[in-house]
Amino acid sequence: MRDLVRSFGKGLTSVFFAAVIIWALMLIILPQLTMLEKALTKPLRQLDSSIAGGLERDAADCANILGQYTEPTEGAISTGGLAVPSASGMAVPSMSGMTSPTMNNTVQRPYILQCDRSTTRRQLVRDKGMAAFLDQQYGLPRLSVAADAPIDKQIAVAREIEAIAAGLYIRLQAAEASESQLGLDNFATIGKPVLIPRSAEAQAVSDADLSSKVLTMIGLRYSQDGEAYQRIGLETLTRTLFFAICATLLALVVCYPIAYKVALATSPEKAVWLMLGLIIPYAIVELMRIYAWTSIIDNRGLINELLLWAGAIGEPIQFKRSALTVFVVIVYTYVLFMVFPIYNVMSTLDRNQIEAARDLGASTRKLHWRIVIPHSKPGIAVGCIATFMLAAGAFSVPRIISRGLQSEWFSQTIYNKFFEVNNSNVGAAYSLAYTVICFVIVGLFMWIMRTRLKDFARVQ
Amino acid sequence: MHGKSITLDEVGVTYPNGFTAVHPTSLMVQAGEFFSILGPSGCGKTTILRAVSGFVTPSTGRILIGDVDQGNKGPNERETALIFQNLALFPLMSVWENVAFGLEARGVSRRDRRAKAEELLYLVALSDQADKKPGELSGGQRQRVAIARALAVDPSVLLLDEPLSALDLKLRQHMRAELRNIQKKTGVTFIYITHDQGEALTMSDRVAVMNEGRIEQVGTADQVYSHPVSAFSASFVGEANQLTGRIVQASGAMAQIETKHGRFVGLNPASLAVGAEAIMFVRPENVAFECQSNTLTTRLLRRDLEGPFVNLFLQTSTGADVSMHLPNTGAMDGLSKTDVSVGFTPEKATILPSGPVARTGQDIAAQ
Repeated sequence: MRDLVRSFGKGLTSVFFAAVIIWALMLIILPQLTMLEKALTKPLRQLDSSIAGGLERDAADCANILGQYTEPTEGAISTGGLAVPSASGMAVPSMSGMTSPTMNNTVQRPYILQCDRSTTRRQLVRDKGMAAFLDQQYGLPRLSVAADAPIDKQIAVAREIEAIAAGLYIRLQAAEASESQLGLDNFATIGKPVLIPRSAEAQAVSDADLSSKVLTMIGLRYSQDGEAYQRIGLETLTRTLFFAICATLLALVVCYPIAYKVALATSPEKAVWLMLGLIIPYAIVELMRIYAWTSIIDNRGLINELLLWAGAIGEPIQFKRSALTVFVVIVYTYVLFMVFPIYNVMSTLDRNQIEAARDLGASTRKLHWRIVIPHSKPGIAVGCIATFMLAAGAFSVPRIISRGLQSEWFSQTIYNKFFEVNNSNVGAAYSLAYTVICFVIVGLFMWIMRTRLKDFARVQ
Repeated sequence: MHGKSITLDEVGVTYPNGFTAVHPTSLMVQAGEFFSILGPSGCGKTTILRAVSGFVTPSTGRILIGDVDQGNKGPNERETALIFQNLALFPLMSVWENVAFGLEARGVSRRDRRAKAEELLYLVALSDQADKKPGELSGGQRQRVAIARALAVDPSVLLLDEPLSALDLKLRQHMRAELRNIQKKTGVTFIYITHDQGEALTMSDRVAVMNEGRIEQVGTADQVYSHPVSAFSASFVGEANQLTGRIVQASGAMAQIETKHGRFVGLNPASLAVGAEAIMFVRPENVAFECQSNTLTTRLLRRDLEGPFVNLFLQTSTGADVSMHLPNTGAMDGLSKTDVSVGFTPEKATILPSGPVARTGQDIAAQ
């Protein structure tokens, strides 16, 4: 601190510190805290007040629909179970021609969803195995709109329910605002088993699959009472982590020789060209870089056309369905994050050590195993961590390459939770859990590789 | 361990960029010999060493170790071990693992490796340092680890690339004796590369003087120092006063040279004929006061005291620089600054054909 003041002066130092504080606060601490709060909060739609509010809206809609409903004078009406509340369409008596002599005075109106849902005996969202209803919970009269009652009676009941629900809604909201709604339910949904309806044949096909066997073995799939269940969230998470590790390993296998070549086995003048070749693809926008691959791997893409033309295959290969394709594109997309850390450390290796090892009779394998790899270990660790984190968080690659033809990656699941379904609390829980799990994996990896944090500074 | 002879048969090295580092050279190093190659930096001596160890492929000629042509053998297949200028110890391995690395590469079991490493560490007096990392050792100890590591693979030839240049003076002098000692004990052929003539002269059985990719002279230290055969040899090894001129008279072993500073008589080992361009070399220690022949009248420019010796720097009125190297006996305390008469006996002066001479410190500093 004092050194900084001496070097840059008070003004610049305070600007620097202010920038650091603003950055840490606005971009790290606050967003994470917001995310944490969101993850711990029950989704809004599960709150009792939301249910009361929903009931209020339903009852109001029901009353309004019924109000516009012109009673058929001839006492005959279609009983078609349509939820469409349009009065005009329904009131055409000639259409059905169905006279029901048994219902002379009791009027049969068409089915109206909102009226059906307008009941104080509405189920509340509770933990598994516990059932609770609005009327019991808050001591409401048990009211519901009976479809066979006279229309004005129905409207009256609906209005009554609306009024009760509105009152309850305001009361509950006030209560909920003052009490904490925090809980770990959102996190628990990651491991929640989901019933998968499948035919027996489809089930047999699925069971024969190796990945399915593995997933069954680790308890992510099971069958109970002849029904198949999958813990979809956890399954996607596990698969994504496994895929990310595979992609990282593939990147390491590809990048280690490149880094070695550039750092140690090439004269500096030639290494410039190799370096340039590595960097140029990064001048292209990431999405373009990924899209470029689709023209190669499509069913009518470069590879398939070539193989078809050469007569090597009869049917196009479905690259889009192969996880390997996603790995390859991830490696291509993030190759620099692996190459540069390894390159940077490797280039500090004294070439004399390589010659000394050779001179002492070391084979190429021995040379790498005992000299080059131990020296480059911090770079390998940092490269693996960077690539793993990028691969685990990869969104555009699996989405663009697989186009929905493969199981989604966890990043896609999180995205869907956030935006496609209005379920951002669960999305927040998913992403937080994912971050923590990735950190744990990275920590474990660093411990295994004996990497210290200061190695990061040495590498980059 | 048995040393083997090394034969260089017209070995030349030209790099892909066209630079010829070594002109075709023939050289024979005896088995068990301590052979030094002495030359200024960039003269090609390291290239010869790398060619022998296999890191450089000669563009012409062949290299034999014992009687075996090394033409298609890689560095890891030759019976040579190289000690690098910076030693190139493996910093992440312990001392004994460093020493045993060559055995590890040969698939020797861990227990045997350890035993051999301890044996060699005992040889270089480092038995108690086996489990340390090289970084924890002093310069001299690291030096000895490098030697032990090279000896562990039972090489027939040990190649040393200026291994003492990073050490301080006292340690360097000590390590010279130690290297010589180890070489005697093991009987391995040593090829020692250096630009330090002190090292080359004190340790070697024979010395090769090298300049600009060519070997100028091969001989014992005494031969090279006292009987140089080329101008470069005479000027690079030790110091020498130089008088440039032309032969005016030649008879038997002696010749007379005419310079702008006068006429002088000296040995004529190259049998130069009358009229040939020549340089006369006289060692500073052979210049004396009040000599009968070959006299020069000079004035004293500077007097440097080196403890037991005194260096006098003199200049003639014609501009010739003469340096004198005298034992510090206090005899010239009352020396006058002008009209100093010095000379040298003809038997101590050598006349050699003119050619490139070694650059002096002044030349290098002027660059």
